[in-house]
Amino acid sequence: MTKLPLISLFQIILDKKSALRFLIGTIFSLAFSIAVILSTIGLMDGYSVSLKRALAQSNGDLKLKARNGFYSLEGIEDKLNQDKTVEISSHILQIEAFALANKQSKGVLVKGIEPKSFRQVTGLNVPLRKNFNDMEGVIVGVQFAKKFDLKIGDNVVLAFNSKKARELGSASLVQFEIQGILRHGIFEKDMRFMYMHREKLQKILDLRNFTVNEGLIKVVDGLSLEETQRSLQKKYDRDFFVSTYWAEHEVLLDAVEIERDTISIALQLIVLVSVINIIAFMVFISEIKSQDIFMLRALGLSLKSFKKFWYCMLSCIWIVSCVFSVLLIFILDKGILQMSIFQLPGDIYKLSQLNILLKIDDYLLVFGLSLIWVFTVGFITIKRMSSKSLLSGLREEFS
Amino acid sequence: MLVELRDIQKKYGNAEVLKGINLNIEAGQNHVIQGASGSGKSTLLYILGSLERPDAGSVFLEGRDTTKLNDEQLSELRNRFIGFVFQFHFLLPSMNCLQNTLLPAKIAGIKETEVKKRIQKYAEMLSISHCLSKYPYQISGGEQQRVNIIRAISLNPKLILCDEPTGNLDTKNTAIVISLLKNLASEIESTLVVVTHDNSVAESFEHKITIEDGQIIG
Repeated sequence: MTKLPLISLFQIILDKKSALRFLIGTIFSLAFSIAVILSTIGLMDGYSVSLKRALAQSNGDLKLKARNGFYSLEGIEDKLNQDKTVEISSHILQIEAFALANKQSKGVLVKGIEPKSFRQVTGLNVPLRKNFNDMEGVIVGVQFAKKFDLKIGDNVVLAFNSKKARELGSASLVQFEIQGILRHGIFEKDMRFMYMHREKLQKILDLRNFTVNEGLIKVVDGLSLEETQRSLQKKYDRDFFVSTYWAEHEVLLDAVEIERDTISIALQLIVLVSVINIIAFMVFISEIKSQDIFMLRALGLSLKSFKKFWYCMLSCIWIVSCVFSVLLIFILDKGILQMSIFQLPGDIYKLSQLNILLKIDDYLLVFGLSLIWVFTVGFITIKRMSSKSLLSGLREEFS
Repeated sequence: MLVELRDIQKKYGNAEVLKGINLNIEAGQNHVIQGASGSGKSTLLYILGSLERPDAGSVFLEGRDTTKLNDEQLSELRNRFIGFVFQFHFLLPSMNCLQNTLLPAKIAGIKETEVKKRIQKYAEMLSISHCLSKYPYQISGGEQQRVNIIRAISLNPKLILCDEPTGNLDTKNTAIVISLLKNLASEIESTLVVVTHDNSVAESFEHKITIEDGQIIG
């Protein structure tokens, strides 16, 4: 029946500066704990998604590899493109080579591509000039260009192990003009991948026009990649391996997911510590405001209203903490991760930069768990606080 | 009958504080409960005011057995039916005196305009109109006790219970406060029950209840 507005009760309980300061501290500690867990999950999810996105950028949805290494485009290209699950396919010839420039050398993976279909499948625009016979042109990765101090228009020499060169006991050395510098989003690719026209590479390697060794497939929108991969594998099982674009990093991605879940559980300890702060806050309030509380109860404030006040207080603490934690994550994502000190060593972590990526599910899980913690502990504390009889409270406070 | 106590018993641990109290109080009468320290007089008052439940027996307020009410109903009863005056006139420091006196109305969810008028009238009667806009720390102890009395009677309760209301006051102020309580109780047609160990206070009441060792002896 108590009609005392909750706002009045909040004013009475929080009128002392120390109570307000304690409340702010409690909210901050809970917000910080939630933010730590969410950022950990977000960083790991961000890593997985960024890695997958970057992998997809140069791989398409599915990869096709012949069991015998090389295969001929004749027949298979049309067959694949007519498949209901396949939107388009692009077939490339890739080979290891040595790049020499500015008195330095490095092993690279040269990809002979057909730029139009390659762009359609991977979304990666490789700016190779159309008239490739005029000048041997390559596109290099951004990290390679940085390491070798190269820019568009500079030359790089590639040493190939061609059939003709093998017969002569040497390597084919071909000079190329750098026609473009490409960013894949994955450090390793930016360092090792080079692109040239497929026909050019076939010519250098003395291979027939239709010879390739990898097919990239774009699946029709809306289809499950795993299911399409299984169905194509079944169809072409005799001659080919079909894999998803992230298959080569599958173990790493699985490890990240397991690590994410494990760390999230371990980090619940931090929430527990901040929940202890909430208990401390409640005990502090019940100590310094004991007289007010017992007087209000004597004047007709019911136990139910008293409990309602505390549950409202806990809800407010939780809501404000959640909002504040989102703000902290935003600051971390936009601010700290842009600082050079937090740049990752890309050769170890594959990606040169991380970002925090959180799904609604992640928020619901972390916010939900913290709510359970807050209310479980709050429930026990409120029960203990209200177990004191009104008379003994009044006698203690007013005697 | 306004109040009827039947065979009230109360124990704290092994100590038997009230041993089968029977008491009837008529509406409009002023009673004083006196007894030595530890005799059980305050416990009896708190049971009467539904601040404490008896271990056995029944408390009837206007024929309603309060021992059968839940906390919510008891809170409502305390708010609307009973006014408490304690020895230590505890006023909330964050509110001014007017807001303090309006607390029972706020708890009850009653429109404050009517109550405010009544409070101003009582404040004039008790000569503390000038205190209403002030905070408790800005007024004297005697004034604080009068504000406390106004808070207790702001909703015109049928029963005013006072636990040592003059315990903290000098002789002059004691006489004034008791006189004011009686006058106000008469003004609002309330029943006044005062617990005291002060004989001079007890002497001024027509109806005396003397309690000793948990039993009414006179």
